[in-house]
Amino acid sequence: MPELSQRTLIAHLLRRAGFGASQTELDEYTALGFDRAVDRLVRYEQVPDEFDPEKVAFELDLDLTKIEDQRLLWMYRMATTKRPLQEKMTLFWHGHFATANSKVNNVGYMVRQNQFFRDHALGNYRDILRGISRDPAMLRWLDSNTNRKRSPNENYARELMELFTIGIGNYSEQDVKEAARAFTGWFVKDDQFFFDAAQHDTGQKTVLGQTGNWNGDGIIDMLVGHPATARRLATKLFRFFVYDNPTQETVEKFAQVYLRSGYDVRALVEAILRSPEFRSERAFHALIKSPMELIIGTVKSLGITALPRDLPGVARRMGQDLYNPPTVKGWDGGMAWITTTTLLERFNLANRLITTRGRDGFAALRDELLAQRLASVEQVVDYFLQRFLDGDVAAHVRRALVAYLQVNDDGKPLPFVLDAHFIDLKVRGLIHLIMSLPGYQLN
Amino acid sequence: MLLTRRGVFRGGVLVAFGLTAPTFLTMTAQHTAEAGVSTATGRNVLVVLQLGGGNDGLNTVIPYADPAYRAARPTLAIPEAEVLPLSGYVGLHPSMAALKARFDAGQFAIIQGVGYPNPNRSHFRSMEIWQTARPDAYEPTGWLGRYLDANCCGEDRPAGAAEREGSLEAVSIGESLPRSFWTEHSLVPAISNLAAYEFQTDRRYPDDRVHQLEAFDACYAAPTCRREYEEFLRRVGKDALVTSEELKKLSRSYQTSVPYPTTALANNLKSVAQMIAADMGTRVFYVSTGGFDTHANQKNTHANLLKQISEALDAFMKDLEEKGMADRVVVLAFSEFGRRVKENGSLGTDHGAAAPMFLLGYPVAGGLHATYPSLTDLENGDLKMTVDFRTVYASVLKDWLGTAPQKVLGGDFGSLPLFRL
Repeated sequence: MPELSQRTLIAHLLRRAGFGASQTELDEYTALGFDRAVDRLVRYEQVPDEFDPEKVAFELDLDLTKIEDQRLLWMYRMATTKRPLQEKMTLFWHGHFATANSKVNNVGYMVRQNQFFRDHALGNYRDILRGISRDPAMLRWLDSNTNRKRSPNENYARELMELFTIGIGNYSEQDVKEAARAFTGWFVKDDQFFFDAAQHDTGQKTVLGQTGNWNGDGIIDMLVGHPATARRLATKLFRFFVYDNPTQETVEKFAQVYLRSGYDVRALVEAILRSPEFRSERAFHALIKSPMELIIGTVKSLGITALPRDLPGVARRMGQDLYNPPTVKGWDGGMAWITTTTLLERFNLANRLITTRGRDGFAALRDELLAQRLASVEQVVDYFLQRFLDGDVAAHVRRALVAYLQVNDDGKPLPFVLDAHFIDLKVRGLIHLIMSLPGYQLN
Repeated sequence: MLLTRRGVFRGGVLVAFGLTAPTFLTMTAQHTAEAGVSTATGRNVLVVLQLGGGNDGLNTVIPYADPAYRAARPTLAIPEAEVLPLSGYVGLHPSMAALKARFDAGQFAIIQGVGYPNPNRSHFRSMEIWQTARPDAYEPTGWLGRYLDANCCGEDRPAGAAEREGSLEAVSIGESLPRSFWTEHSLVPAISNLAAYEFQTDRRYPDDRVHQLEAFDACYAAPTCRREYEEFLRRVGKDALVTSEELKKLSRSYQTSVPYPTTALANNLKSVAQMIAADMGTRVFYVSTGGFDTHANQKNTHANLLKQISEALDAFMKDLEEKGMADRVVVLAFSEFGRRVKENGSLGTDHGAAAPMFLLGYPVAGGLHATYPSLTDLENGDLKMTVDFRTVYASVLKDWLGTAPQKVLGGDFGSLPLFRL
């Protein structure tokens, strides 16, 4: 993006590899420059993880046995983490290995799975598949608990192939049946993974043309290095970070990174973030913000530190209920996020955040505005369009916003003075309008 | 491959780019009449009710006189004495008394044994098949979306005609938009809560609201093709504002003396009644309810679900009756599949195939339609379909919505006499 400033490029990076940025974070990462900013995001182990769930739960008086409070806790983590990419990948895996508490019905299991995703956020995909195949929430979610030698349950084996690895069209119904036998006896006992040898089918199984006495790990080994898995994961991560509809050539390039690195998700994600595609004009504002990206990004950009307690419910009404993805396919994302209702929900959250007087981030925003010494309504509009939208709007939008600042609520012309009335009435209104623009829904 | 609304929408975007700034449409009954919906079926309303998860048809419309039923359901069979008999062979689940009364009054039609060839047992795929009406191939658009395109804003309209933004021709009740409504041209609003369906502005300055709305209008007036998805977002956003302002005006006048149950479904049906009463020209409503995936401990869960549906629909009917609208509204209910004939080892049932569909309303030819599938001649343990769901769709399109079904369904699936014409 040669025409974009360094700061805009870093903002793009932090929206994609994180959940947006506060002004301070944007300053810090911009000072690092793009390459070192990517270093810091990708090698997040070098950044101390300051998030202490117990401490936050105590301060906020959360009941961590309740799933709704766990949702809020996770949103706090997204909003305050010093390791944004780790958290973004945690959310990616939650959507990829989509497991819902509506069926699992065990908060502890859901939280453990969440921590597993965080621990392996940029891990090796073989380790991730091995771990998730033994994860109590997943074992319950896809009925592995009832996958017995005498009556195999195909649910996990099917989704492992259809959604987690090679994808539809690359296996037969017989492959599913045989693979299910390899996972027989993989149960949960005393809240832990338990291999029940008596329920495990030790016979020969033929999966994807290979015959042997496979167990679950054998099947995983077969799938993790399959070219179709490489292409699927590369495509999905590319669409998550860059734009939809990459060319086959682009997908193949990243699929090779995955295969050559021995299934290293870190290598794959790093290659995507450092690619020319990521910095291309086409990638800029090319994705629709997920509800998490919208909510956390807005909260951060407004400098709000006390998250409203009903934010998980707001996210649910926008279509993203954490710990409860709609199906095992996860959230469809993209255009599926947007309906008239979910869009009004987005506009109304912006209105609420920006017009709540008292303990909010608006005071800092006002000081920031006054420090700019702006001399006209046009400059005020441009300042905030830059601040919230990288200035990426059509001329008629800018004109409409300028006109809005020139009229008082009583309908009379409003001369430009940056006084308390103007700021409380018009600047709040302006920010609400900017956050209600089509472009603000883009990431 | 993941299908999104993107590819579907592209046609609409390209059309929109060729226009000068589209104007906000005023939605009134008069406008609807001008749009060409002036045939005898012009005021007919269809409410589609989706029962998500796979409803156990066998324990809904129960073949109580069939010994094979009891044999297949040792713990789940409903005792014959409790069944509400509809014929010497089948009867309704005991918690559907309200719908039994509607059946007796000739207002409730049951289409037995509905399915499609090569049934798919994945919730996701099977629901998609019902919503797109294409069992044999991936189809991005939904059957109701194609109906909308064909009738109000589709390929037939004159070149250069405006996209119908802010249209309330169809309304989905809920946050998400079911695939049934995905279309190339029309936008369908999704409304989850009428009271909350509004563009809120700063409460401290109520007089500034009009200026914010003006600015919003101006920002959303012209197509912006700067970024992929930006035009899509503009259209939905504009649609949200227009429809919400319109609905706000209309919903104030609604009152009902009918006590609705306090379930989400009943509440949604009440919203539908409210919108029908407001006479905004809406032809199709879509309401969803879920929880039918009863793999384990089915008995009470299923009884509660059926009770909820029965009572919510009955309240809805009473409301329509009170407002004199019962002669122009029908409800069509479906689920993505039925369940396995034989119960499983967890006091539940697994994914099956054919199951009954329902039509409710004064204009409906009440009674039992088509034949109940055999309980002994099964396909992989599942009931074989006796009617293709597209035949039911075709009947509704032809006899209720006044549309040639072939164009919407992409083939001739015949029809059933489901309406009193």
